[in-house]
Amino acid sequence: MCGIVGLVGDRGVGPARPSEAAVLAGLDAVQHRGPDDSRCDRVGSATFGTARLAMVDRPTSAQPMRDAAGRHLLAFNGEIYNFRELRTELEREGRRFATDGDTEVLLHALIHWGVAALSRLKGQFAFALWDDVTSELLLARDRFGIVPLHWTHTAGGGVAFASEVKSLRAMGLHPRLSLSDVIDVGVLWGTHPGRSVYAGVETVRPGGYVRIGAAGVERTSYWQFRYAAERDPAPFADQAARLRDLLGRAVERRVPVYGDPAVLLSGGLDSSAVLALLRGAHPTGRITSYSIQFAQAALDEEPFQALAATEFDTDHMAILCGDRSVAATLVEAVQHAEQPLTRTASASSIALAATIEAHGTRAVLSGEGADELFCGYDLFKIAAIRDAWSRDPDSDTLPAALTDVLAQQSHLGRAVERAFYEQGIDRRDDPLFSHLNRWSSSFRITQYLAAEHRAGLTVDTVLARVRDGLPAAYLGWSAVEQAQYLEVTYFLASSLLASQCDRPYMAHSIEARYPFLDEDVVDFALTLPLESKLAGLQEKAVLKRAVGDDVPAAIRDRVKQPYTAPEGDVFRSVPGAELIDAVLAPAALREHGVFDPKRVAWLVNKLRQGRTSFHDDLALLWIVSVEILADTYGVA
Amino acid sequence: MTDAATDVTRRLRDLILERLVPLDEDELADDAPLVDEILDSLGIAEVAVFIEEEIDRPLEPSEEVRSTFASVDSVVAFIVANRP
Repeated sequence: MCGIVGLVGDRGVGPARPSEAAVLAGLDAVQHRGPDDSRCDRVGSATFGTARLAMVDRPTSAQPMRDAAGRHLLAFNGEIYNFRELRTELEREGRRFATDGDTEVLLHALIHWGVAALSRLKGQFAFALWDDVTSELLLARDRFGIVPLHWTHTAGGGVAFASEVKSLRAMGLHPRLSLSDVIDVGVLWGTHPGRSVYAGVETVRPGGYVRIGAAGVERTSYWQFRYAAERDPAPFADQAARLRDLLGRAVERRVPVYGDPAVLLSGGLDSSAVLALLRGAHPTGRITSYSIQFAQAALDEEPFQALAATEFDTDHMAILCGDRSVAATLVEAVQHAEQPLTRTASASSIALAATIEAHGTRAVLSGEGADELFCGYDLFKIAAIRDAWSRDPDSDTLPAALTDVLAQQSHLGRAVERAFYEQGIDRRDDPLFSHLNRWSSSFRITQYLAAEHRAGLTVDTVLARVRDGLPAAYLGWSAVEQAQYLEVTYFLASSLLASQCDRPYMAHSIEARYPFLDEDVVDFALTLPLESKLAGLQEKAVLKRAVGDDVPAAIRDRVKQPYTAPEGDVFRSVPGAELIDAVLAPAALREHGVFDPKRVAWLVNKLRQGRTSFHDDLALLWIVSVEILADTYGVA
Repeated sequence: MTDAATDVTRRLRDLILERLVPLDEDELADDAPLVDEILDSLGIAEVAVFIEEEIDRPLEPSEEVRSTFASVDSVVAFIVANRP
């Protein structure tokens, strides 16, 4: 991937700063995304810059790229995996090419087909295209928002865009934290599609494009996460065979042109499946696997990682993360994520990315996306049980089933958890039924806001913005599939793929690729009936069947363990405690005015006195990361 | 309210305000919805332990339901009704 930056408008950021200087400053801020080349070009009133991480056609596909007529200018970040097929099609229709890469194919495709080209693309991408004849800027992003793209209006009447917000700041703009979005990201564990946590800064929504021209700003989706009206009627075994075939092709498409293939290996089913399919396609080639191990036994998956690495004969490298190392990397993780964190996993990812970079690997395949598409999280089982419970509130077996599911993960072993999940059981008609518990609980983090920010704020204030964005078809879906939609829209897009993957890995110029988010795999997944994904309380049923013979049985049959990193204990370590002393000191908190120093001190005291809850840890991480960002960007 | 209930109320409120939520004394009403708005799951578990110590026996699964933990008042009422 790359970093892209641009400015459209004759007056640039402002009269005092020429466009090219601003764009070059923006590029400097994202050199980590593209260490191979850094260039700037101007067509008409558009100045684009690209910091390039050259994964395809290193010799000739320099960016930003103009068309032969000099009318269009393209800055492109990402990969188009089907560029060869598209090129053949375009050549049949008279297009001629001067390079061997995907950038020129994208440029021709956009010129030839216009925005209709977007639905033909298979890949992970964000780009900006300028048309100097129509004076129109087109910004677009892949289906799941794997690749970031922000944009904003400038004081000079133009438009600036960038892969990361730090570029906008470096260009001379002044993005400040938007408190309502900061709150929403803490409660929802993700941003609303199209929004960022910075006032006036938008993101191009996943699967969407923004067209900015004389007629104004048009925000449109070219793809949306929607289940097929008619579900696949094929027998389960046939569905599994089809899924395996599609996944195999998706893995193949993502093998890098340069260097040996590599896999992020968690030790779970998804990454092991990716590795198994990769090994199947490359029986004798060198494959590297990279893992994170945790010092805490409860979090560590090392035995399963070792099993997969041995089974598939990889060069395996692992880093050991503990409370101290996570705490030591946390500030860097927040600064790269550019939004408040709700999990410390970003810090572990950055540490692993540094190891991968040192090993010379440029691209890694990841198993992310499978849990959302095939119902891997306990959240989906809980949604199914609570849905049934809501229709049979006197049932004894359903609460017992819930307790069983929770016992697998929480180790609390107390039926008292039922009291928690019984909350909202009488609100099945609420479209957000599956997430009401999680989001209502997370809303407790807002009790640490300063009094003036708490006043009038309710969980329904936050949820109203979610409800406003629900698609019309949503109400016709089951509780579990509604939950899938919400996970894809909030958690996957802006927490998992952004804060936990793109930002930490690109901090070290590492491109992560996601076979489970392949267009063909996703299109097929959206045709599957729910029972193929969640069979009773068996998660990822069709995936387990599809790759069941490929991965070791011990991995296939293990109880799913969500990828987690140390949370509260991070702040009990020496560097964590030092971070808290520096960032959460009453004077520092008063400077930004976001949080109530007395209440935050109560939380810090609780941390240091003894046990903290999941939501205490969530609040601490959110507060710390908001304060780190406020130091850099300020608060609107 | 009996003296026993008053005493339990005071100790329960102390537990909640000192260890479970960052509220001031006047911000916790005795009829406020503990499960829905005040306590998280760990908080509920701590209140459960408090109840068990007060009634000197483990809670039955049928007693570990929302209605038991609904508010300070309901917790106190449960304890008073189940004390040995």
